[in-house]
Amino acid sequence: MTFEDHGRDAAENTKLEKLKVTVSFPLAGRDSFKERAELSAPAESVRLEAMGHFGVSDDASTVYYLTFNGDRIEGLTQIGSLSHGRDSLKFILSKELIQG
Amino acid sequence: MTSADTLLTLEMDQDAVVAYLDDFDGVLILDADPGTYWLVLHPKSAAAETYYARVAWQQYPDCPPSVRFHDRIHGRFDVPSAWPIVPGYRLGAWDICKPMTAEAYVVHPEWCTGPHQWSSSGNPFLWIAQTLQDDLNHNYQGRNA
Repeated sequence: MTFEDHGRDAAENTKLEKLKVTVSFPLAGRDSFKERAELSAPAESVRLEAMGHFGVSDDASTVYYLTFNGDRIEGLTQIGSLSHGRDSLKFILSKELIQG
Repeated sequence: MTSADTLLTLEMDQDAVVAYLDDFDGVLILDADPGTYWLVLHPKSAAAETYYARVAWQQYPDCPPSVRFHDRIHGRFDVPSAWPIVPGYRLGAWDICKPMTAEAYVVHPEWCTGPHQWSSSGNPFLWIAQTLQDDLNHNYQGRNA
């Protein structure tokens, strides 16, 4: 392996260490939240940053959570485990409602 | 009487609903009654099961819609088997008792103010569709007998 090969591999690994993350929230009157996040980042950090972007927060009666392909994503999930080789992930921020 | 503003705003927002439902093999159907739609939905864990939610907007996006499951499009809502078993989805009352439907705000007028008040920002139609699909994906316990 040449010096150039090492350099190229290092560059590709660097690229793969981050994912393009998009979080949409249908009740937001603003654009989706977008960031580049580490593969090892927990979903909870994405959730909190997205909630800050949308100006919402959990309270005693409302909880927000991320869904990906329809699945509810737990906070400790590393987002890299969802990517399966893709370089981007699209989440939806959902609002959990209490029942009457 | 549904206003022209309501219909125009619904028309702008409904494309996102169609795209979202398509990810779950769901369909959005416009009713002949202006402001009324049928959402054909499938739980992720039971894709062969089909539910028909009638979503009727009187004033969009300012007021919550009536949401009721029916046994088929243009069918009856007072049929238990038309309704999925999901916490807050009530047989007898035939409503979804969560702060997202016109029926629920009648039962709980205290929700009209405070943290549960209706939000008209963004795309509430998409939010309703996502909430129904999320319930079928995460809180579904089967079909009522």
